[in-house]
Amino acid sequence: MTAEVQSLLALAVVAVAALWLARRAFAKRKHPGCGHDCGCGPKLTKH
Amino acid sequence: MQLPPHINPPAPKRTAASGRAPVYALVGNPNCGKSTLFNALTGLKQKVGNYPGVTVEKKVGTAYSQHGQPLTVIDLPGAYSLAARSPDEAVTRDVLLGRRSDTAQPDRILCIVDATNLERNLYLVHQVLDLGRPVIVVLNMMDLAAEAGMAVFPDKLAQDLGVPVIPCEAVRGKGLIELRLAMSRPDLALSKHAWDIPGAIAPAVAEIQASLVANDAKSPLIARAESLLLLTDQDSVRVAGSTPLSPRTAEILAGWQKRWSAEGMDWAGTLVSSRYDAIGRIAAEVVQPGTVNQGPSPSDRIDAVVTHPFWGWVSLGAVMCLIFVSIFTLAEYPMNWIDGHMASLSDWVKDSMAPGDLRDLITDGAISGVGGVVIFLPQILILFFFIGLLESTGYMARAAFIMDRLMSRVGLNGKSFIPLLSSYACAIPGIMATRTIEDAKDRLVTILVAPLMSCSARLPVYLLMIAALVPNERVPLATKVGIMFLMYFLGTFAAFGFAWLFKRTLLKGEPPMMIMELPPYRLPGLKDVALQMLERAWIFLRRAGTVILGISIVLWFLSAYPKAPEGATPSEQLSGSFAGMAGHALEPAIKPLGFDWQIGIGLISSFAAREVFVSTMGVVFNAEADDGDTAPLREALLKARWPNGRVLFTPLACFGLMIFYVFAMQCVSTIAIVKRETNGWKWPLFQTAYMTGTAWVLALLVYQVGSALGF
Repeated sequence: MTAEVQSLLALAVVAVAALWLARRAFAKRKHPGCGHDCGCGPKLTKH
Repeated sequence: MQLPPHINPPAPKRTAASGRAPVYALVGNPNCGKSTLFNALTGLKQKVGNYPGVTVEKKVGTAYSQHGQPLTVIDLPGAYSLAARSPDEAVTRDVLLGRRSDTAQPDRILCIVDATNLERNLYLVHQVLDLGRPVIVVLNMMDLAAEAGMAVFPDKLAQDLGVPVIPCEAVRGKGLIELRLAMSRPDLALSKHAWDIPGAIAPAVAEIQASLVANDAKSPLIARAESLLLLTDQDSVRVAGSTPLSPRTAEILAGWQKRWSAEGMDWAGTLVSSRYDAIGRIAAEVVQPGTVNQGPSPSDRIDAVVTHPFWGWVSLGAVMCLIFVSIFTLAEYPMNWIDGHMASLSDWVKDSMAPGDLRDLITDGAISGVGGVVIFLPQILILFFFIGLLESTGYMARAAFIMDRLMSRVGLNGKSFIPLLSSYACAIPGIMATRTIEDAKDRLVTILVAPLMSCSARLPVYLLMIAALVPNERVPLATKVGIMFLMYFLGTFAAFGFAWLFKRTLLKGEPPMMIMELPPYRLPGLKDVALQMLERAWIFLRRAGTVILGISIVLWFLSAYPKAPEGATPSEQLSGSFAGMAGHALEPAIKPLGFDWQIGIGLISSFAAREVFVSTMGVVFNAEADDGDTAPLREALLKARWPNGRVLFTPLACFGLMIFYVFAMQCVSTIAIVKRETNGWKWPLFQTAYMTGTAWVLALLVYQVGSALGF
């Protein structure tokens, strides 16, 4: 794999990660809380 | 008072009509085993603990009847009475009264009672029976009652209450088949609860009930239960909660209260006494007191030491020392193992791929960032193993009892200490646990200081700094334990100090009395402890594999772009990168603290979560394990220099960083949860400002005073 191809792939991975983090941050704003990341309780059956 | 037939209808068959699963509410006093029973019925892993106040919000799960029919079960926070005084008790009251728009009113109610303390537990049962729903009483902890020499007669209790009574040992799963059978019955009868309301109050109950039906659109039975609650609690606004009374009902209530006040009558006391008289008669028939334990119980003997004014503190200190020593010693081998495998993985990628950005992203970004955090998994697990042990044995409640003496001096009570103790794991469940605190100001003060307790996310930062501060070969274990102890002590002491300050300035109020139940000691539920550890491991690894991986990847890009000219050193590349620019922009504010722009990058990124600081250091300092060494990141930190050649991570700078992380509000999730719990941005912004401001000032003092003293 050439250095140019590696750079393109790396930038694509970075873009996906950044978009995912941004989307996650936006979702948190709609539903404030930890998203159970902290272990405040497992996600239970929706009622 | 017997109800006329037109306001005492049979249970509505809503389940058949709507086609949904029947809804069971699980209610009971705090620490009577509701969540344990909930887990046993639903197969879920809701957190349990041997202290009151573990559950502060409703949890919903699905159980199955003996015939495989799904049954919805709602686990509700513990309550001593439906006359709710704290936010968590209000959840229970509102769900049972059908006030919650997000939860259907339960079709049936499982009342779980502690067989060793039947009389007190029956007060809530007595109120629940007023609701006119089909009720099953679960007589839990029958084994403990037998051990105490008590004889409890379930059949007699069933006869007196007119509802099925199932003896049970939820921890061991005994009685679950009988309970499922009872829950499966389609013809579960309404209670034949007949309680003679005192004659002087009965007309008021009837009039308020009629008004609630006519003017507040309440169903007859709910109206009766609410009218009794309105007359049990002097504060009608608190009882009404989110459903304010109509003017007409409020007028009727005020009229009765005025009349009784003029007559010098204590109507609330009369109602409560009347209930207890009825309960006392039932308990006398159902329970034969124990005869085997005339002297102090084993719990009493242990409590004589661990709640002693002097030995209690010694015990608490010894427990904390044991935890920290274990964290440092037991975790060493698994940490080396993880570190070695991360190094091997990095080497394998380097051997397998040609040089380039993608390879650098994988090794310097993903593996360095995630590996730098994952290595602390064994220590996190050891911490949670001990927290689980302390919770399941009942020691947590004793710790709160000991702390109450100290807490009362700062204007809080021991009830605030349970949320603070929970915050050692994570501030978010700690802040949610403040819902057990009745007084709004005390609750707010506790929320404001809870994030000062050293949470598990700080642990990797402390451990990395201690490793850099005191290399293994030169310093005894006791020094490391001592530094760790100091960090935890500082956070706790600061929480008390700020609580004292807030209670005397912003949130003035009288220190409340603490009434807290000390549960009997129990052998630790190793299964529950193990499940809690596994859950924590999963949460930690999920965070490492998602948020921390994402941040590490983005951070790699920010530290690798824009590209420096050919021939630039790695340091020059980082300095000219986007991350370097951000670090340089922050440097004037943190240089007086002994931190440079590279540490500044870590401070900025760790605002997402504190442990991200460690992964950031891994990316920034490009730490790699090339020979299976045990602490490559630590060595990279030790080699870091200021431009003038001075050592960057001096003992003073490491200590200052730890102090900064003790106090700084570096957690967006905590800010979000404080906003939710306080209904606005005012308090989370204030909290962020005071904590981060204190962190900056104290880190400055440490560095400047330490430098002046020649350290």
